[in-house]
Amino acid sequence: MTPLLSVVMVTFGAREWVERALGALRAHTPVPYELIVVDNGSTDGTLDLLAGVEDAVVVAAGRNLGFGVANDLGVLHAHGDLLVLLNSDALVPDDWTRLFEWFDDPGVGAVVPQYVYPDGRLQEAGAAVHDDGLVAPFGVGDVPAWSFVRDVQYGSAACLVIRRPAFGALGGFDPAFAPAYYEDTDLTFRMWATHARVVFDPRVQVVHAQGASSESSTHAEERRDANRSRFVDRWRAELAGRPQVHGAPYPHHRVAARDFHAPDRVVVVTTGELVPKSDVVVAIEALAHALAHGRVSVLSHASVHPALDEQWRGLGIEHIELDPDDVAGWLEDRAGQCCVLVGDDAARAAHAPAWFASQGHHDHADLAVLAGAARDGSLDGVLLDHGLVPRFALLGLPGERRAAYPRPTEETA
Amino acid sequence: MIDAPSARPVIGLWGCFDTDAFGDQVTLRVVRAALTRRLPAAHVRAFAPMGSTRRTLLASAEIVEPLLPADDVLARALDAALALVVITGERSRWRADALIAEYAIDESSARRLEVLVLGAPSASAPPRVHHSDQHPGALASAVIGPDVLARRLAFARAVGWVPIDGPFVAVQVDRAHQLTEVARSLRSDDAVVVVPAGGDEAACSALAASLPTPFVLPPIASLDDRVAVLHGAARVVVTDAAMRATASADAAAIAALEAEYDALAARLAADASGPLVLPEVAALRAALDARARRLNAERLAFADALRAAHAERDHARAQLAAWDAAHAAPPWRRVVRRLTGRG
Repeated sequence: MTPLLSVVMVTFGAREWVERALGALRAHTPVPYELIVVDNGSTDGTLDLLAGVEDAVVVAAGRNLGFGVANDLGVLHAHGDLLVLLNSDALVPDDWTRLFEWFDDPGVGAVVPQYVYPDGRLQEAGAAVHDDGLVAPFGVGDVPAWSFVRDVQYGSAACLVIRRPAFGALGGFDPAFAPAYYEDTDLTFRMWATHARVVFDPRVQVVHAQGASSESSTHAEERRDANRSRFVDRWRAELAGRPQVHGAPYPHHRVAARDFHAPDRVVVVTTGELVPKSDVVVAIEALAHALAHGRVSVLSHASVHPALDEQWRGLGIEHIELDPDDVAGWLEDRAGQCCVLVGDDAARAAHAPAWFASQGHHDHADLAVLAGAARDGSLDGVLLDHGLVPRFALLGLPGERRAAYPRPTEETA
Repeated sequence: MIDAPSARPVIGLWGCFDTDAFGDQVTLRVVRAALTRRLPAAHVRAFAPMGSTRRTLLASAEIVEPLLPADDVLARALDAALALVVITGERSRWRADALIAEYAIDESSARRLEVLVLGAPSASAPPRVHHSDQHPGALASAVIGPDVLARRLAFARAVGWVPIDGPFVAVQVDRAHQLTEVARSLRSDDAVVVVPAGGDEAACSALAASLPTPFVLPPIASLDDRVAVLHGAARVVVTDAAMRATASADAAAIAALEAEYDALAARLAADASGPLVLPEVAALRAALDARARRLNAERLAFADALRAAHAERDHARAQLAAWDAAHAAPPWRRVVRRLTGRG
């Protein structure tokens, strides 16, 4: 059933972008929704524009309440099961409503899309937060490596979808961060503290002008720094020892930051063709389904079949196509960052020195064994043998409840 | 739609939760939380005459199921589904005339609902029905939690519903004739915030009009906002019983409420075991999160040390190669090789 949707938008000038954002929302939202707009004292005619928007609840704050407080105010007018906090300079694409499908999973608290600049360049594919509070967006100039579904430490609230009861239970954005910066980072950290997942879905790409609706101020940097200090003071214990993304001493820090909420990491090395329904593909997809907090990275010499590409991105499977000569270096870069290295006989033979060198870094498993376990339904047991947490253990529920969660289907298996 | 009997005990929580009355919404919030905490395996389902079909501003996003049309089919389904029924609110509110006044329903519907909730006049209450007569407001601030209350009070200050800083007095009146008494308790320099409780809008408006520079909580203020303002006020002058109970957080009242909920939980405890339920899953998730943090920290430390060792190894190899280049073929060896053809 499609949940009732409440879209909350905060405006502060930038009338042209507001018009475009509302136009994109209207054109690309085929489900019923209510629109609530809080205007933070625009002086460029934005309020006149909003007056003409049919069925919108417009709240004229008359002054700049800041991003978080204005959103909190808008949410009080909402009735939907789901809230979409949408920036007035964010343009939703035609398939953006697929973000709501995530909320069939009760463990999901919030979802963010991938953000791109108006010229198409990648802006943010989820983000990590350093131990000094610095927010480091993933993926800038590095699209393929980061464009798959995964849990993220943080995602900008330019288009944040969140359950309304969860937003209420958290008390909304914290006004301590008004007027702006770090209120959304704080909210996602509070969400993680309640063990609710924050999911990044790159299959939906929202154009975000970033800053078009912000107050142009020479004090912006000072505000950002002040709120960063406030944020670090609040989350110091949680931030301690987090891996670096920018200025990382070693490359594995970036992967550690990206997969911070996916500690059970499995790397599959295969020399075979990656085509739908092959044993290798069945095993890989079954792994991705079965891991509770996992990341499956597939290292292959061949490109993935086009039919699988979108499916794998949706399942959170990372695919890396590498020249055989580069495999050893790649494995060394990931040393210590994966739990289980999986391969078939050919892969082990092809990369024997690297395979041998990694013995001390990872547990090893045979791809044929995993494929067999995936076929006969005993994969959960194999995962437990390797110290990995299967999804059913996370749910802690007996069979009939587990059945409600995604498992490989006839189509995907 | 009432489900078939479940393996989990289901508690029906009945009240007028489909109104904008502060007291009803606090009741729903507190009693649901109290029962869920004590009986994690139980499923608490809220019911009200019209349920969530009647839109209210103050209601949370949680589902409230309707008790109307209160016919035999519904009565039988409820009887089969609910292991315990907790009825909240004064009994007088469940009388047909009160229901007609509140919900504008026809008399026969109101009579059926009255019988469903209060039972036939001659019948004694069945053992699985419990009337909760104490208002649970005293527990409201504990249930919502200090962090959320602080955040909501800061929000109320930021949007100008209460003074931006400094102490304030929270006031409310149910009836116009109480205005004088309330006004008399205020000092001229008090910053005053009017906190309507629902159904008292006219009296509260009159109260606001009688004050020099009042702050007034608007209808959209949430339940948490209202509790935060009552909780954060330097002084509270209210006539609504639920607000008084909420603001006082009286220790004796809290003890009595806890005892009542403990007794209710004991009635169902034997049935409340079973599969893991939300609080246990939450505990499991907390444990897995802690494991993830440990794994992340250990792996990072291991990989950092490994990379440092590899760097040291590479440096040593380079040094060795340089040494070899410098010493592997000394001049005397070349001479020996030339003379002997070996070496």
